[in-house]
Amino acid sequence: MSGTTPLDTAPNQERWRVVQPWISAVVRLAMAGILIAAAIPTMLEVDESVRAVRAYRLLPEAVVPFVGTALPYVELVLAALLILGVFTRSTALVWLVMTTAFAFGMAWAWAKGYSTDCGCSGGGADGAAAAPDYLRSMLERIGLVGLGVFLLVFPRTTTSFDAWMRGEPVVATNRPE
Amino acid sequence: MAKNVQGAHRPAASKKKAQAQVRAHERRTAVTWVVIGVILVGLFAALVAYIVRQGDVAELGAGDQATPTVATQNYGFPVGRTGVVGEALDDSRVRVDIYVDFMCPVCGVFEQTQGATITRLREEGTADIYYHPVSILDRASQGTEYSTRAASAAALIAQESPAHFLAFMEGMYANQPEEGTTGLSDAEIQGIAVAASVPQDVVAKIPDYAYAAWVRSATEQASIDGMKGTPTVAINGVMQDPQANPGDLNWSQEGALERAVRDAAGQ
Repeated sequence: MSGTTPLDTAPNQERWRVVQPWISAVVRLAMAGILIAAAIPTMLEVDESVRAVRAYRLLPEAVVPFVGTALPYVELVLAALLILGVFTRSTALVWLVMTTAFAFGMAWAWAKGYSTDCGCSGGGADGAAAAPDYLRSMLERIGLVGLGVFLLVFPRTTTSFDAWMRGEPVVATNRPE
Repeated sequence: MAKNVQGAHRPAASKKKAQAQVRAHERRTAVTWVVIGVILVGLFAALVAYIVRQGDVAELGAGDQATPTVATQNYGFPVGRTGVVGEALDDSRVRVDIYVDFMCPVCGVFEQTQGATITRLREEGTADIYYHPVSILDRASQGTEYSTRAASAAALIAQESPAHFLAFMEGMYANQPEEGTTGLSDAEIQGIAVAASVPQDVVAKIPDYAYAAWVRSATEQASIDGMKGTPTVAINGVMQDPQANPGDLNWSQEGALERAVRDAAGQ
């Protein structure tokens, strides 16, 4: 095996090295987009956000209004850091904590049979048709956790300020280190 | 090893590398401060939003706001045998609290299917009914906040024309707009009030939204009290949530509401 170029030894690895920063960049921006999409309606309907946080019945009433109000701002800060690509591994970790908390809250509400849907489906409405679609929401949330795990494992992305900080070109060139 | 040898032979390159490291360190420090700044700005914005919300009234409540004195501590309008808000109430009867949003289609179904039973239980003196008009579906009226406007009108009528409150509620459900549309206009709500025999001077006050802030507080209190959607029924103060507690009243089952109320009355 001696004398072979890296391309001969592991062409798949080499390809991955080239492709991975682009995938990570797409994942990073997708996460930012999801956060912004989640934050904007919550900022406009703060009362609803507070009621949604309350419906999980995980937090004491004293902090529910603040958490409900602050949540979209935390999401926007995280989105800004993801768009810039600064401290990508840390932001991925914060994302993971948040999404697993949501998934946990969902599972909790599911187990307790709480309806976390604030619309017309709660209360005494007919069970089958009105039951919130926990399974689908749960799968969505697992997907969100998956995005975070990917970025945590592969935080190196193209066009990031992380690269600029290290003194590399902002747009990565993927040369071997 | 290789690096060191190279460095020793080429001091200029080594120096350059050291300089690059210093620059990278400086950049890192700068970025860290920027990130801390962004986080602080976000936290500050959240705090401001929180404080503003605490002192905020409903968006529609720009004018003078009022509190209906006929309402109970938990923001309900009590209706006894006579069908007039605040009249002929008796604590020994079963207390039925009903939480409704005028935009919510299931609330319309509730009124259609359970209205007659509720009227019968009330008129025969088995139960007093406490109506809670709330606004959880303001987002479902294309920005016109129909839920709040309608609930504010209901509060106004409960306070100033208590004999026509039930007729007004009925009229609002008979003319219920589809969820997601702009809802009824103020003029249409006024027309329903007129048809329910509400006096003209009270009808004229509907577009003032004087109870919008109260409706918002009522909605918040309902949520704290455990209302998770509309319609929700509470019997003797206990929220009925059949999804969480299989033993609770599920009014969509034929005759269940009447049975639950009669059970509570010991009949």
